[in-house]
Amino acid sequence: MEQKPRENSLKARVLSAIEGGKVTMRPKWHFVLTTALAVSGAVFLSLALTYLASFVVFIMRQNGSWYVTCFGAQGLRAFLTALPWVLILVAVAILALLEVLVRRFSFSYRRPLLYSVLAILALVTLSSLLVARTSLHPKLMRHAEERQLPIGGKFYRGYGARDAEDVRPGFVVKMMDDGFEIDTYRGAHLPVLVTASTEFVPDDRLMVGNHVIVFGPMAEGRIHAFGVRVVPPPRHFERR
Amino acid sequence: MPETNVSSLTDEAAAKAVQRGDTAAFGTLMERYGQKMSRYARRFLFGYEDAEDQVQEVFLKAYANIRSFDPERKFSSWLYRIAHNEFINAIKKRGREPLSFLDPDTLLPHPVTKERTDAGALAGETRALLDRGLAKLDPKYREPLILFYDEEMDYKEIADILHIPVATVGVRLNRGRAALKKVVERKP
Repeated sequence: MEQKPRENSLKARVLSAIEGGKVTMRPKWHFVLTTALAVSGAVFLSLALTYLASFVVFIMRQNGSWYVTCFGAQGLRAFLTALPWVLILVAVAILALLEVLVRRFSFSYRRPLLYSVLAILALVTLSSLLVARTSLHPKLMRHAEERQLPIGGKFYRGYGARDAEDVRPGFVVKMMDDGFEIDTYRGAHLPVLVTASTEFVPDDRLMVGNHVIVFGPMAEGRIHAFGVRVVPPPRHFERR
Repeated sequence: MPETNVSSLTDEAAAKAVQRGDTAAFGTLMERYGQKMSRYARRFLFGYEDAEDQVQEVFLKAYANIRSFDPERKFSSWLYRIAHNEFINAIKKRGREPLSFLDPDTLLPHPVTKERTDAGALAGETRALLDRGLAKLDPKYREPLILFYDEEMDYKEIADILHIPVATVGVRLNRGRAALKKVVERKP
């Protein structure tokens, strides 16, 4: 019984505020717009993440570091060193923002955060690998090198020019007794020294014309190969 | 124009009427939920002098945002969600109790505990402990305990109000009960 007067007072205060116009109903379009913005934001961030991830794959394939993990701990270290960590941090920030947006929907918050993060990562990985197979990045890179990309040109030229330490992709142009020679993408002609400890993937049957990733330090004008891996040339690649 | 007998409407139908501009229907909803919201506020915002003001804010926010309510869904969950947000904001503003930004409980999957495993005697014991130790609990555990024992909601409803996984509700209730026991045993 004691509660009734308090309740009536609460009801009276709220209804008085409503009838006095101190609080008004937000129109339906406000909520439709909010949801539309959230959905658009999520789509945009997903696309941005896909773009960024596919760009990382592109430049790592371009500089050959994508292929050196098969060469043990040294190869793994070279791979990790070559990762564009700034871009990865940006990608993590985008992922966090995307999670915040997606978390307002029940399909996301009803499950552990890990599930939605994994789902987003799976989707982004798949789509970025698909995008990396297209000619998007090679074309944009070419436009950037020809100074015909006003937005993003510097970005492409900057990351495109970065070589991975001790990793050199190129084409075999000559076989020799103690190794072979390669022409790099930039037209440099480099001799490669092969020793008993050099690891070949898939095997050591190398031929002129093969596209290879040579992993090893440069010394006395020659690459001392820890490992040599034959891989297909990048898609949409134009040899200069 | 025939007058709708608002008091016979379901919560969802009454909310729909409010959306069409029927203020009396909102009054009916307030009559139904006023006491519940006040109890929720007093228990959750233990020691906060302006708990009743927060309840007023909840209803004002509910009215302002009533057109975001989907009548196909449960009105009570929607209203409690607004209340949860208001009360959490009040706690943040006061700064008296810590609130974690990222909760580890919601990150990883947990085994789903059986609901109502504490039927009967255990529920009675927990309710008695609640009265004695609630104020000392972390808000993270205090709130699900209130919603489960005082407001008698199920795990799914609590999950929808707090926007956490259903399994996490079970985890928090278990941890909340354990923390409650500790707090009460420590008291002189």
